[in-house]
Amino acid sequence: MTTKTPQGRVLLWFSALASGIILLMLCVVSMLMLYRGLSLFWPAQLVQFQYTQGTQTEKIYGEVVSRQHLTPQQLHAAGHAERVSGERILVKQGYHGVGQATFRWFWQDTISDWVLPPELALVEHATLGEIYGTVSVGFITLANGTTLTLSAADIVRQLQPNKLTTLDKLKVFSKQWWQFLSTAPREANSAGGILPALVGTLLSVMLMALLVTPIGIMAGVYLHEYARDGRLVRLVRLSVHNLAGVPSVVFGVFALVFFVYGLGGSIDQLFYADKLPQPTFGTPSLIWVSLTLALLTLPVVIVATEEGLARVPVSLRLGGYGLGATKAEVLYKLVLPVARPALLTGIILAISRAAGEVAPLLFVGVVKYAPTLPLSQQWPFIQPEQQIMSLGFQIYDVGLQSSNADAAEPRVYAIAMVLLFLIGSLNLLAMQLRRYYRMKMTKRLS
Amino acid sequence: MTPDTSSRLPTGSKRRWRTFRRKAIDRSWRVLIALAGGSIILALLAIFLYLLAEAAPLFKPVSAKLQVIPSVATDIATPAVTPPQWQQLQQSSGFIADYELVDGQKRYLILARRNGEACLISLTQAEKGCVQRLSLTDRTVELTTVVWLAGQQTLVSGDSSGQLKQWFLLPDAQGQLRLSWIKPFATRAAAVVAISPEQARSGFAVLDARGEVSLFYSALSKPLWQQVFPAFAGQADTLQFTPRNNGIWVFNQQDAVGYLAVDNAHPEISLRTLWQKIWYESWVQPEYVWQSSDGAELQQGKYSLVPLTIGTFKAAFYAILVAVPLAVFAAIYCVCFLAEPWRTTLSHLIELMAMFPTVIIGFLAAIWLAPAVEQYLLALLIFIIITPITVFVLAHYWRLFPRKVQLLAGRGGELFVVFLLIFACTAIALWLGDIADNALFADGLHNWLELHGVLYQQRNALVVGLAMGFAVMPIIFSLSYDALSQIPRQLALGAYALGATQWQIVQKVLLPLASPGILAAVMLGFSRAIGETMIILMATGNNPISNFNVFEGLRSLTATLTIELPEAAVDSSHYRVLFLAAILLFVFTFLTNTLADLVRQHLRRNLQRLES
Repeated sequence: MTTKTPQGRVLLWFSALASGIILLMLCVVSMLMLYRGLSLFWPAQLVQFQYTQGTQTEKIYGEVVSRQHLTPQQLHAAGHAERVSGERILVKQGYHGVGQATFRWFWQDTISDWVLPPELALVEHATLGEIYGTVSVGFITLANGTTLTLSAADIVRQLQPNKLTTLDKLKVFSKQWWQFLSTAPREANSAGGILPALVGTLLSVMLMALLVTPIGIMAGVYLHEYARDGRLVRLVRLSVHNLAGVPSVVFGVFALVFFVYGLGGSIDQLFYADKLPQPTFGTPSLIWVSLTLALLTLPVVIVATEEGLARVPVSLRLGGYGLGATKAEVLYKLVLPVARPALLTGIILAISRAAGEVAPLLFVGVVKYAPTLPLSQQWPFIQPEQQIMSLGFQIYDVGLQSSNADAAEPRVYAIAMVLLFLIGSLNLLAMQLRRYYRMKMTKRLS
Repeated sequence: MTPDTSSRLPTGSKRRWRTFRRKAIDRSWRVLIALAGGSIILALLAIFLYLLAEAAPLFKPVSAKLQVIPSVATDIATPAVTPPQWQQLQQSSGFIADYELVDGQKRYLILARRNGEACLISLTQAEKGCVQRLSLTDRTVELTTVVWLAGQQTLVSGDSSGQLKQWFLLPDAQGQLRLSWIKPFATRAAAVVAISPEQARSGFAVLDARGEVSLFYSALSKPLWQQVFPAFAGQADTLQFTPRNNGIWVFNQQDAVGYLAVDNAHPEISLRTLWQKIWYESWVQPEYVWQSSDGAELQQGKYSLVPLTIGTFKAAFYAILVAVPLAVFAAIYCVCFLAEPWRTTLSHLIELMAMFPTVIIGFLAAIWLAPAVEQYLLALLIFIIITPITVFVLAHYWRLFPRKVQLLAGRGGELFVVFLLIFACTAIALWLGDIADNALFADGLHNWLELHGVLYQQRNALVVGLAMGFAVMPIIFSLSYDALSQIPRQLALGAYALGATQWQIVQKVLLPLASPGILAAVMLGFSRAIGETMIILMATGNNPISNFNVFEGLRSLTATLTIELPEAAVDSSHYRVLFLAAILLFVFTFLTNTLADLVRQHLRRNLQRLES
């Protein structure tokens, strides 16, 4: 269709503008996440420069983290009214003396002799963190001239980024990512990896899927196949559908009282009475996290089941009945297999929703730091009474509550990327499954 | 007919047995599924009832029963008769008093006589004498009692006409503390005999000459409970609360003459304290306050749900303001102007936005968006103004462009043009913003705003609106898209055949038919925004204020739950009020969703009728 009238053109352009803005927003957010998330582990160039303050000059080694331009008003508000230029850079200096700040702002006009010396090295020390300096065997010389002894045991990794080729950098990059995903956090979540959070999220979500699948499908089958279609059932169906829209935090509130205090408290009194008042199950833990997530996603699965069942052609059922099959036989041999992709999609979408959930889990067992993984070597291989860490909560906690914000912030982008990747691949899987089964089904039914 | 011997079907009893077994399996499945499914659904619906049961004790009426005096009087504490300590001061100031009271910080002395005259003396400047003289009664009646409530911030006086009055020490215009009349409590039918403050709580009990005992809470004028005990008329002179406030001793001349068992767990919660302005102790005026724990020694929980509700709606309102125009217009664009396969691609892309977990959006809003908005606020405002104007102008003069360029429109090419336009507008807005900032606001826009009475906080409703708008956009978009694309194609084609223009089709055919669906989409988006937690938690300052200023933060019901529930003591008033907040959220979102659902069903039925 074309647009011929002025109003039509205005509508066209305005609607195009809206779409454009939405697409740009999506683009900017995705790019931001990708750029910040990926650049964390890309070996940055190490710089060396002279910093002049008054009559003193100081040699600085470091990595440029960010640049900023302050307007005169901002300079004024920050108490630097006398400055002419508002250009400044944030430099990560690493460890350079006890009690010295790792990150420091430098005004651009106080800097001179900017070079990228190839021999400058980055050493990640087991206890001191990252150190920048020139390395000789067993020693490292810092920018201020002090020399530290390095024993091989202390060095986590060592590299000279200015000498690396792109391929080498890529190797370092992938190794860093692997370490990020496979080690435990250090220094109050501001260094190290995210393994416990990753395991916690995956485990709680898998447990949730185990719980919600049979329950949700059973309820959905009941609602769609067995319940008589009266006014009451319609009302119930409407309510169940709308429970999906009830804020997740409300489910969290309910879960805290009903599961943790109620159910967990009773289990403790019945089976772990000897350990009381030390609670075993009557305290936030993995099992309650999974149950809460299951409760939260139950309406989603029920709705998906019902929709899947509704889409099965009536002719299929009638054919089954015509051959003398009972209702159960029609259901289990004909309807459910045909509806399976829809059910699967519903469950995958429920999982992807659960993986990003944070607010309700704050009450029921997700914590800042859990010292051990909720796994064990004997059956059932998991410890449901342990507290867990989760990716979503790490984003909230490390992002906003960390004491070392400059070091923590880039990590959060990386964690967010991992979470987004997880959820994205689940969504993609659901989409592909739906398409695949739909194609197969149309082929079989035609 | 002869039996078919080649049939593999069993015959006779074997066949009957098999039929029976199949039927039994069918029946047992039916029972199993009905039981399991039904109970799951009932349990799901019972969540609401469970929440209600947790919050219900808040509104349980206060009751007290006369009991036999417990023989083991462990928690009995005979009211201490304080000997007059300030006689010297009384003499030096020339005010000989019957009652003397010192405030909690031992800085002020209040002297009162039986005729109601009172005098306030500053203990740090005792030589000045009375800094304030006033009358605690109407002069014609006699002051019978005056006491501090727990925490020594509130004075309650009772007189022989049965009137009860509340007094605070409040600063006047010069900053001098003065004893100020706050409000009367409900008048008793007979002269007030005794007032007894609760322990560590701002309630009190009153005994009058008829023997009536009544319970009050300092923030409420009406009594929580009252009952006449003729046995106490003239036979009792003092009341005393037990340490846990679950009983009142009645004394006559130091002898216990009665014991009342009191059930008054949550005096600070009532519909009035939750929803109306309350004048709290040592506040200058009545206000809506949410302050679940204050610094004062005395825990007087201030649980007004008004700031939280306003915060919730404020955030949702700005989110909707951002999301609805963008999402609905984008849906119109997809359905009316884009052809396949671009239509599916674009709608999938926009629906992809739903994938972003809200905690990530909240993080980006707090760490990246909030500082950016603060720095480029003026540019953002200019962008919001100039972009639609530019688009409007472009639409009007599009015909003047060369024919080759004109062909771009209507085939997806306009998206490309729009991108260029947005970039251009952004650049212009940044440039203009810089100029305007230097020219108009010498100290920066924020100081200018503050000078004109508008507070600017970095994490404000604007940031939340943008971030949450991003979060609710996909749901509004996909529902509007559904509503628009469900409309039978022949309607639009018919109108087209009759010579209607595109604009007329959209205006007269598509929009009227789809408007209920779009309305439902907006409602669902709104309800989603009401229930959103992480974005609000991270991107606002979480301070409970009751205004709609875009540049100030807010605190929502959901964020309050997240922050405070893990810390609230189980079964305390605070804990139960949080449940009330959860119920409020539940009811509101549930009703909105139901309404939206009904609207959509109605729409679907209408369209089916049109199609047939």
